Amino acid sequence: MNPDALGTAFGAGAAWTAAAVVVHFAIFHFARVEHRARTVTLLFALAAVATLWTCLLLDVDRWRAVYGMVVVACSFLLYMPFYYTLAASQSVQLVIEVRAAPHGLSREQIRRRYPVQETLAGRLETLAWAGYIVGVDGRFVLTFKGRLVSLPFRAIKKLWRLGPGG
Amino acid sequence: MKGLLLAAASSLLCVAAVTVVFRIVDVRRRAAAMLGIFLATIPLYVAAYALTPADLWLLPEWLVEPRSFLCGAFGLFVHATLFFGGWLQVYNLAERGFSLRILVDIDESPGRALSPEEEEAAYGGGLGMGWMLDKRIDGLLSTRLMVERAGCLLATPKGARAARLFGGLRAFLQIETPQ
Repeated sequence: MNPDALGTAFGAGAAWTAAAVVVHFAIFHFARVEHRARTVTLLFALAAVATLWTCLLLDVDRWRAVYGMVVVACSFLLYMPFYYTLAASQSVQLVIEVRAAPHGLSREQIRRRYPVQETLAGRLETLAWAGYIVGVDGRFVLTFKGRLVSLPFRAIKKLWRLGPGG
Repeated sequence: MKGLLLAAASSLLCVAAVTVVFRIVDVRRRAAAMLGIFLATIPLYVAAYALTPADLWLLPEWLVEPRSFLCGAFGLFVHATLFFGGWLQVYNLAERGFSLRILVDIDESPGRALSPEEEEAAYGGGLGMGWMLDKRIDGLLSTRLMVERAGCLLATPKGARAARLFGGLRAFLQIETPQ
């Protein structure tokens, strides 16, 4: 066994992860991307395949090549929450808006900027578009996919005695 | 392989400890408590790695790493990933997820169906949508990203730094205001 195989696999995984992040920033900066999460996922999947290809090219055994792919998978697990915080967090949006206001914002001003009905309507539309809910006679019901998400989280909330959340 | 197996075991130990603590103690700052438990598992991982044989009494020779330190560091990286990208995200989603809360509200409603108006009132187990915004503001105040003075919310220096960083990244990546 080549004692450097593990280091080579980790290096390949780290290098292709860095490439995925750079390409992500470049694509999103220069192009209007409609399916953003899917694009990031695809980039990391390509990075994993590229890691495997690089390892095999450098005579790393298959088992250590998988370690390289695990590096990419772990990086993806860490990168996605960061990206979602950046892209969708209301708290991040709030702090940006408060800083941009010369004299700050009152709670009432914030409520006016985030009208409840519009915020909810937007999110319901997103959930319907993603296939988690469907409209029936003016009401929304969960699809099978929606229940698949709801059930385990209901169990976790009960197990960990969490509050209502949201 | 030893690093990966010990990382998986440490991660399971971590989530088991989190479950026990959340069930028997009323924790106010749950994310901080989770982080504390995770940090406590790191010396356990290191000790387990140092005190066990390279083959863990069961691994075939071809799965034993000649570079012990690299394998141990890799296991630690996986353990940290499973916590920060796994368990902590599960907690964040369950505790703060807006979309998830809507799905749970619909699932827990008597007819398992809600109109937008009903969801507005039922949100957060009956707390209503107005509560959601207050919860986020209170979160920003408790983490000292904002302060409230004379009825106005202002960014602290820490908040201003965060706003500059995230605002700059959002602009660079062409991310629009989320709904």
